[in-house]
Amino acid sequence: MAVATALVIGSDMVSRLHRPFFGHVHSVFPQTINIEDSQGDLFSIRSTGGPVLNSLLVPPPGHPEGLNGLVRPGEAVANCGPFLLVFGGGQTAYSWRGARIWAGEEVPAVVPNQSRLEKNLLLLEELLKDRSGFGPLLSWLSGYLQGENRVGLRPFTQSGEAALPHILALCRAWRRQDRDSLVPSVKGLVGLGPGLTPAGDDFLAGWTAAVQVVNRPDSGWMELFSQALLSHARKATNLISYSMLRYAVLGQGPPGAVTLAAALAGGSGEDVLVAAQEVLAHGSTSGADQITGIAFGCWVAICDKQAGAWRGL
Amino acid sequence: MIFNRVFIKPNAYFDSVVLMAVSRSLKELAGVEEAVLAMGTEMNKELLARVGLATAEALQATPNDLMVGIKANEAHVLEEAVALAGQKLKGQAQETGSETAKPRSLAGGLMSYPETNLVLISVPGLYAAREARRALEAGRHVMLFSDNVPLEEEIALKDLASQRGLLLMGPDCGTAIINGVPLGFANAVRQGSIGVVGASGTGTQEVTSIIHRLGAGVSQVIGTGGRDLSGAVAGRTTLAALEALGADPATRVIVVISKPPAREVARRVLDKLAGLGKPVVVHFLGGDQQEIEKRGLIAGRNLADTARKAVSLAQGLSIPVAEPPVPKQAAQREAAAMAPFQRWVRGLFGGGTLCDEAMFLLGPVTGGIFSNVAVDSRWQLPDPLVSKEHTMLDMGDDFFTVGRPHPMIEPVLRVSRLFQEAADPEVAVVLMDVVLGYGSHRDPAGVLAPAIAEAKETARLAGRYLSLVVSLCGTDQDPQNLAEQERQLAEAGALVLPTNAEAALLAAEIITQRTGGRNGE
Repeated sequence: MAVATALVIGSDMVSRLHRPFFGHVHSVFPQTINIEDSQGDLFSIRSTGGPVLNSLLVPPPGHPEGLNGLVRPGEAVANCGPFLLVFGGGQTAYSWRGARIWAGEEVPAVVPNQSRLEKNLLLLEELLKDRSGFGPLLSWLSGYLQGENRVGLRPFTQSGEAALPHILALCRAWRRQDRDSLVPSVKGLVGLGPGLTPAGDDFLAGWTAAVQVVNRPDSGWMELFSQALLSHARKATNLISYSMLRYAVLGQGPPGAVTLAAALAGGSGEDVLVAAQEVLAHGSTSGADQITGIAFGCWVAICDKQAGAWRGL
Repeated sequence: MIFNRVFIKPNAYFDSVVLMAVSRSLKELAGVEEAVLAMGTEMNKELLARVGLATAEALQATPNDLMVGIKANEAHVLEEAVALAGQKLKGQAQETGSETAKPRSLAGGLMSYPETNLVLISVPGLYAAREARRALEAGRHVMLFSDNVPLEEEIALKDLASQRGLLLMGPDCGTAIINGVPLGFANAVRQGSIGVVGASGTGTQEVTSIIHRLGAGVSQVIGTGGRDLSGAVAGRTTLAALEALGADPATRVIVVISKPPAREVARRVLDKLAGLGKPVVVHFLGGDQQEIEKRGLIAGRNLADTARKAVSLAQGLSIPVAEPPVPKQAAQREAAAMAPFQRWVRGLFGGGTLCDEAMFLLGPVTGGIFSNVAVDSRWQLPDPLVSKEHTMLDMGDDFFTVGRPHPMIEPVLRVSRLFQEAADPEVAVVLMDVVLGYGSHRDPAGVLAPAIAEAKETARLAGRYLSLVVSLCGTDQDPQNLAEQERQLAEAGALVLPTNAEAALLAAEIITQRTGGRNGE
């Protein structure tokens, strides 16, 4: 039996691992093994960076494929004592005792500044203009802030075009704290678009990270948003994507999202580009979609209290 | 005209990079107008609908399914794109390890892969019959890898299979090649015109590997399970398999390999073979060749001879009569290097049939041979852990494998016994088999070669010369690299022979040269 020792363990995993449970391997990627427990919750074993809150971070087993090939979907998993056991062709035990506990990404101090946001958005617009998914929607936002209305402009991607009305509806609902229009706007985005985590989900994960960092709304509104998001996502998107949203609501958005939101809202251009690279590294389309969500989230959060910033919306 | 197709991969998770790459490849095909790969959420179904891909298949998708939607301007382009998408996603699943979630039950498997027509069952014997019955009732052929299935269950299952027009291979069926797909322990053998029905696993591997090495190939290789030709089971699977091969136009020559069947069963099988109207080679290990030949069938003297004769028939050549010559000079050199008190041969086999064959070939030369699987109880080894005089061990037998992997899977299990034999001053020859192919250890020579070198060195330091004779069963297409396996074994000082029969006969010749024959008399 192969034994791998975890270096870092997410704080959410600590409480999970202190009680016995059974589950199975849900899906396997080169650096990630997703495990679904008997409650239908997903957690991960990772060999590289990524959100650690629901993960064990273990060193790669000495070959470039990372965790690939160690386990297969459907294999049984049990937690007993200090080991997470995966039963299959090559039984593997993940020892988590002694691992460093990770409590979350450090939240940088944010001093929101609308003019800086507008300048920084131009940088991101350039970065994302040729991306698929929602990336090109940043050019709409950037144009809007400069007094243009680019809704009719092309090229938006097909999924971006489908998403834009829902995104604008979400912005309006957020600004007005309008419960009735919040739910349909969220429903319009969850599960929409390409990617293992659909672009709409990535957008919402980025949005959720940003609005919690920049001018966090009152807890009642945030609670309402979280409930609307998660209750719908549970059935309307896949389990991997739902888990991403669940942790985003808990304050653990995609890696780098918090740093990017802070940089975008009040940091330098260099801060933005450095932080954006980290987010862009997620998947093929996910990073760009998350950045789009972060950008819109920052804009709404900053403009929330500023009269005149909402022309026509 | 526009042609649309949406297909679904249930519970399939591919990262976005993969989805993007596949989408790009599809769009690069001339004539593909749209290619969408997205999870089956309601929102994405709406997106598909916007581009005219709201098919019935798409509507069935769940958020955990991957939808692949393609639009093309010609039907053949669409087919090409669908095939490419399937191929790319399959390749990515293999590369990344991401794939459709593995079914956890027979019912789940049949639901996920409804096109399946054969089920391989490998569960503890207690549950195997139940699963096999379910598969048969679902209209699927069965390969029952499991052993310890009660005899009455085996008979009932085979009767059920017969009623349904299906084939039940097994129980304890370790080897088959169906439509070119190796199942269980099997070698990479080219497809051809020789159909094989085998009641023994390694015997079948030996014959099919030699068929491949002689330039021919197999149409189907059907395992029957070790008890099929017993009086109780009465050859139910063998007869059904022969019926199938008799009707199969791709099969021009038929080979049957088994231990000697019960007399009445042998008669029925041979009668059946004689009526098939196709050339047949039969090898009943240690059985009566005349019973076979008097029906106009061809008898194989041993496994290698059986393969050679089948290949000759398939290639329209005359039937070979002579065995390959025993390398007497090599035997002489080996024997000459030994000390006067060295006289016993010890066989350490992973393959049970190969062990049996070695005993049948060596016995007439060396005299009685002790074994843990002796047919004659007088030669039953009292303690399988201690060899006695000439000894042949089937180390794949339950005695050695309870709670451990089979020696074909883990060759290191034979290493300690090799050292034990090497330490016995009266041992002259150690005879071993190395069986390659799917299911076997990925580098058996890598484990055994250093042990062989060390065993020989142990003997040398004690003033003896230990002869190691190894048969290598496999093909140049096996995953272990046949040539490299042979090189490692030869460099360690083993005499490597291409067939088990040749290895056994060489061991016999060395003993003859050393002692003059039967038990040193």
